[in-house]
Amino acid sequence: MLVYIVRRLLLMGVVVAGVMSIIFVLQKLAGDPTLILLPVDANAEAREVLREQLGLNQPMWRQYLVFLGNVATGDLGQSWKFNQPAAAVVMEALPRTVLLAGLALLFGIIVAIPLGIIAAIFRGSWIDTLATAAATIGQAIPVYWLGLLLILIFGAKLHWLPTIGGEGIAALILPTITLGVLTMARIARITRSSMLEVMGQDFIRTVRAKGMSESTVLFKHGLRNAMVPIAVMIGLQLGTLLGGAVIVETVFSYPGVGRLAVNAVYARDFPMVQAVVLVVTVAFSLVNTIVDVICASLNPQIRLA
Amino acid sequence: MRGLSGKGAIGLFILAAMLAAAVFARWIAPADPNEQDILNGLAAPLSVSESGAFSILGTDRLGQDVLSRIIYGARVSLIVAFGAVGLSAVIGIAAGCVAGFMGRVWQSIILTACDIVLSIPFVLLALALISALGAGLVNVIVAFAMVRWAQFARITYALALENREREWFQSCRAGGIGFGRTMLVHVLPNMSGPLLVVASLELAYAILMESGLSFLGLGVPPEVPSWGGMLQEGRNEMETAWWLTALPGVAIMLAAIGFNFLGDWLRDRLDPGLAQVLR
Repeated sequence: MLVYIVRRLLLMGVVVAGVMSIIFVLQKLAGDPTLILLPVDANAEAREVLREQLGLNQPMWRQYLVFLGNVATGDLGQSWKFNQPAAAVVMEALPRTVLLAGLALLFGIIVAIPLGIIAAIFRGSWIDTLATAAATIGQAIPVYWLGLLLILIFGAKLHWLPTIGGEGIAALILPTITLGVLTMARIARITRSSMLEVMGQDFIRTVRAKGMSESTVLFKHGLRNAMVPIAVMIGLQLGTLLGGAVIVETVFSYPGVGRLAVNAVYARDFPMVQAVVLVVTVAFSLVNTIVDVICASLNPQIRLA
Repeated sequence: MRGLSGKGAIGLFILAAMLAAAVFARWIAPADPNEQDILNGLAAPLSVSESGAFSILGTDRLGQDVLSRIIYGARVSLIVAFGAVGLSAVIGIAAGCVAGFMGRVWQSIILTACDIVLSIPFVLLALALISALGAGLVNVIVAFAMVRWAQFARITYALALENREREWFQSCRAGGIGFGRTMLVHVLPNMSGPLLVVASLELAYAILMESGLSFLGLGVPPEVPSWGGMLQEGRNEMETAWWLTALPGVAIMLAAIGFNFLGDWLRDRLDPGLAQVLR
């Protein structure tokens, strides 16, 4: 187990280093920042001074090492738009995105697992058809469009919920549903197929033959054995949710890291974009590592593979 | 071999309709997608304007015909989707073969690279790339390929592990057939089924991503009709002109469903051993 954890942590280190390198390359491709930082009519001398200040005249390998050193010490650069450390701005917005993604995941799980189980029990019935259709549409519906439709129906027409902005729990309902639908569809699908697979096996017939109640058969023996692929699928959703948050937050003007990143792209504020990508990716791979370690502790097959 | 299931038929039909719309847009579309007629702006679907112009799906604020813009919009979606998935497939399949057949060093380098790119949420990496290089059709394709090649590489690698144990593969090597020829003539055709499934599902994903980026204003320029761009423009008119928001969204969703169905159908048709790899 310890060996597995160490190996997994090493892999995480490699991933983070790789992401930092990608960001560095993009930063260099972005071109000369003095064109954005200084007014158009600034003279060449002023540009040269700034370039020297930013360390852009150093050899590339040196800039790379300085960049790595800065990131390692938590310095993700200065936001050009906010004129304060980009890391601080991101960290301020991050909890709101984590809250939204967490709620969406919770929503997805709470709806999807019962839906998947019911669809599996009543296989071929209208309820199964309905659940499968819902899952199909949920997987193909563009999230921002769903968000707009929900705003139109529940906000503009029915006036039940605040449309964009707003405070408190009511303002979180529509973004949560919007972001959670894809997750729900995927989990429902895998729950259904995993339950069908387990319920068709011999030991279920044995349990039934022993005279156990149907609920014991279903939950204690069926669901418990069907849980592994479902848990893996839930773990895989984190990345989708963080990516989806970018668009959902923009649609609902929700002040999380996603909207921050999109606005930073509009404002050509590259340090801000880079800070969001780095922070979110590190958080994401940290969570992934934890999920993997938990899975491995539950299932020895994984850590020995 | 089983025939065409309902899902497969629907998928093929949607894909064929999209292709036809994209290729023959000039002849199918009732109007020029960029022809403005401000006086006839925001006409509802199935309405006749004062000048006698009939529009099936209504017009937008500038009086541009919505149906024509949706038909032309299929072009952007398909170009980006096929471009992005094609590029990802070429890079990913090559990388997967190298990882699977060229020994352990390459294997760990490529699989680690896959881990790295797949651990960045795609939308964020696309934002970073577009922020560095600027918006545009080509950059959307590049951004997609930069991440999604890893999906192809992983599957190709898994298939390679399977193929290299087969007798025909060993015979090829023993018979002195060169590495490149073995790959292209013998290995690739054996992988084509599962890879088509992946490609089909990736096409659906690419269409959703392209329209998402266009919706954020980071995809194709606004004068080119695209479904995501139409949604972005219709957003401000949502309460008065529902058709500007609803209809392009339906087009995107149908396209994604079509490719998903096609992928599911292909997967069901493959033999179960290969279907396992794709889980």
